[in-house]
Amino acid sequence: MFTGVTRHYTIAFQVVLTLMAAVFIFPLAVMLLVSLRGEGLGNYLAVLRHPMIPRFFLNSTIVTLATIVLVYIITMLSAYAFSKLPLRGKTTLFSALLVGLLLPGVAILVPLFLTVRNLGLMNNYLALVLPYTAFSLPFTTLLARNFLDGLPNELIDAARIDGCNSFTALVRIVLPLSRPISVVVVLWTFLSAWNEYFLVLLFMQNDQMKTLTHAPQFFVGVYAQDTGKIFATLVLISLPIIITYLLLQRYFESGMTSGAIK
Amino acid sequence: MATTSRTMPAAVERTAPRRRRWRGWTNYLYIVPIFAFVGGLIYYGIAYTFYVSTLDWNGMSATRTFVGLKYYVDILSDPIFLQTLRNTAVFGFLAIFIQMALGLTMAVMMYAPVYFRSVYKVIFFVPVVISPAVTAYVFRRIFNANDGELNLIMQAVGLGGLQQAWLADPRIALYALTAINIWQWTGLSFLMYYAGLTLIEDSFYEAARIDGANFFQLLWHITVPLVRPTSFALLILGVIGALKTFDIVFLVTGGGPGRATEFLSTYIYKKAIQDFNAGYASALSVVMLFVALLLTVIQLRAYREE
Repeated sequence: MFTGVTRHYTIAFQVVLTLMAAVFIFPLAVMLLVSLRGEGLGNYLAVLRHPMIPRFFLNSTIVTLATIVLVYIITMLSAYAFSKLPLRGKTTLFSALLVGLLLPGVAILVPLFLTVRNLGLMNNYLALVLPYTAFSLPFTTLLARNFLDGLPNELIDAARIDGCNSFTALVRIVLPLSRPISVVVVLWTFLSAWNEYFLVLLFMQNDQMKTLTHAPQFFVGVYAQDTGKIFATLVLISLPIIITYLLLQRYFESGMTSGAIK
Repeated sequence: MATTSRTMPAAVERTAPRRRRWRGWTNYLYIVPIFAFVGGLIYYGIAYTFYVSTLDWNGMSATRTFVGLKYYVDILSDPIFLQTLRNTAVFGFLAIFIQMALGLTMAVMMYAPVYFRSVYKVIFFVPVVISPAVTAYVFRRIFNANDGELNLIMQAVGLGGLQQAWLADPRIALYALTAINIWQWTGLSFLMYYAGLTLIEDSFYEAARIDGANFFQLLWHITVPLVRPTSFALLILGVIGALKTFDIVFLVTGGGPGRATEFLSTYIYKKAIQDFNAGYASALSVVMLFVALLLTVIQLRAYREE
């Protein structure tokens, strides 16, 4: 598109992009600057020394990891069946799953809340892990099925002729070839589980069970007007996900875009 | 066994029913887990929500009175419900189109031979991965009427007269929330357009350029129509996203001042958890689900007809 475009355009674009970047980075800069107000890096040390931070971090990690494991296994099993195995009523079954993409979580707040309470799962990791898994699955399965559709069926036929049953073909042939989409599924689930706020608000009433997204609120109670420490908390809880993003940028980008282009 | 299969003519193996892969009921075992989750939580949830929506019930006590469709009739004349629809519509409309316009602009400009491309990319995309629970605190501070950074900057550059109580003024708060959403999600629009642009072949532009089209004509007559699938995906994601919006509203304004930024999601939460009105909250949820389905079907139809 730019083969014939003059240098003037490029210079103008550079200026506009820089201005836009300045606007977009502004809130992040505020976050960082305010986090150093008062005791400077001491804010970070104070927050890190607070006994609740490891606890919140542990909770977030347990919940996120458990969700990732469940979502990954269930996604690959079902995407494999939908893509490579003969199933009667496949299209209908698959469309039935896609309704889950449209459902705002808050729309089933009442039954979710009652079920969790009646099963005695308040303040229990399962109260988060199970709904997170259910809400992630429709999207990850759509992504994974689209990817597996791109793998040639001959691979599966060859595996069958070599004596594989459907499960060993999945484990030996399909899974090793689906590493790109596996990373995307894992990242997507990581992002949504790690950042989730609403269900923690509903189900984790005991501070000991809250996750990192609730740490700011907790520290508002602890540090009251000491904004420096509260903002240090904000930076600290964002770091794991920003670092992950920077390390795995390529996968984040393909994951974010691959779902929608279909 | 090995020797027989090797000596057998290849043709014999070929005639075996190759397309018949592992038939039988065991195939269904692979989709049992996903349907256990989606059926057990989502479908059960929808059905149960519908059931509760016909009850006068606080969600706890043993007394539940069947009220039929009363709540649905009530909803139609509930001024707060209508306000939430208006708020969601204004928020969704502005956010979706501004995000699309900004995202496409960024993507197109990044196709030019500019410097620092990877730096811009990171800056535009980082907001997407940060939790709304974090950004809420940052923006509450930036938009603070007294010592918020936005007002301070406006003062410093001589725009002190335009300072606002961004979150406390009921005429402005919704737009402030929209701005936060735009900041958070433009990076996604940008990335998707950036990916979409790679699919446009240069020959399209060449042909138009020979006809004397300038840059903006190329953009409007070639790029915009050709990235339509991406725009459509962003539209659908945006509509569902606007309906789902909860965290940022809940943490930044709590729906206030008054009901100026009340969304259907925050209203459902308040009805269910604060007012113990499980029946009414469920009826609102059913309406929300219905709106989500309806809007999606309309968009899919419109897109297919084109």
